[in-house]
Amino acid sequence: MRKTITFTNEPNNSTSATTPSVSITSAAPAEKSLDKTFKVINQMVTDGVIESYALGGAMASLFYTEPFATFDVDTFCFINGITNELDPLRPIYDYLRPRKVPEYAEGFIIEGLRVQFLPVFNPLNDEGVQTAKSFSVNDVIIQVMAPEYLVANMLETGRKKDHTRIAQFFEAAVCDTDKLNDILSRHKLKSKLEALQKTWDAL
Amino acid sequence: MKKYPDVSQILAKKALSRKALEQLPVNEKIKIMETLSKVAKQARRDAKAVNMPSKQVPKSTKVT
Repeated sequence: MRKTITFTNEPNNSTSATTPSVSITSAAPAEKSLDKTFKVINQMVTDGVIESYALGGAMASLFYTEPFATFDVDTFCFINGITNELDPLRPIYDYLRPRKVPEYAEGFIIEGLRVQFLPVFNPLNDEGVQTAKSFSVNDVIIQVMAPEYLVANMLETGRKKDHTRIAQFFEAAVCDTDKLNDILSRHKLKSKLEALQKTWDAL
Repeated sequence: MKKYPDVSQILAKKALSRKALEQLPVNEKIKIMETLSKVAKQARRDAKAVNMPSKQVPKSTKVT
């Protein structure tokens, strides 16, 4: 059974017309929260570093089903100002480094949470970012990849833990079946789902 | 065909970073998971879907 969600009307896909300039501090806040982290990311959109984004990966799942264990906030994004396709995160580094935002591996620790910026790298996550759903968390708008695209991405990545997560999405019945089938057909992922369903049926 | 950036290095470093996390002592892992668990609970409690019209990808769009 689908969960009912409260809807409110907001301007079209904007992070907020009146988003104040957000100062970024390198100190991890005592109380970490997604809205604090995304306030910074929304500011990056306002400042033109990121064109648009969608929270994906395991952290996105908490908006639709039970949270999965994860260490990162995977943020798929269209990044502005990429001059070298082999170094697509450069504009983000150029924005966050002067602001002394702590780094780890290929990511940043923004307001205490590990954020992995992932430039959109294929048509599937391109669509996923363009059709992201908006959620408000403590008055901060967070763009989250739709559940159908999360499932499609997990099918494409195809790790065993992705298969487990897909099963949880199906059990929670949060995907629009027609929309999912359309996405899987267009991105040639139907056979992967069929193969996965066969393994479930065999159990 | 639309061109996309090369993210192979990013994904490789992400995988390495994940392996490094696997090597952390248990108490460090617990701290991280406790933090993320609090974050997830709070977001789930406070999140409200917002009815913004999103760009719909037409079904007839060919992906090449």
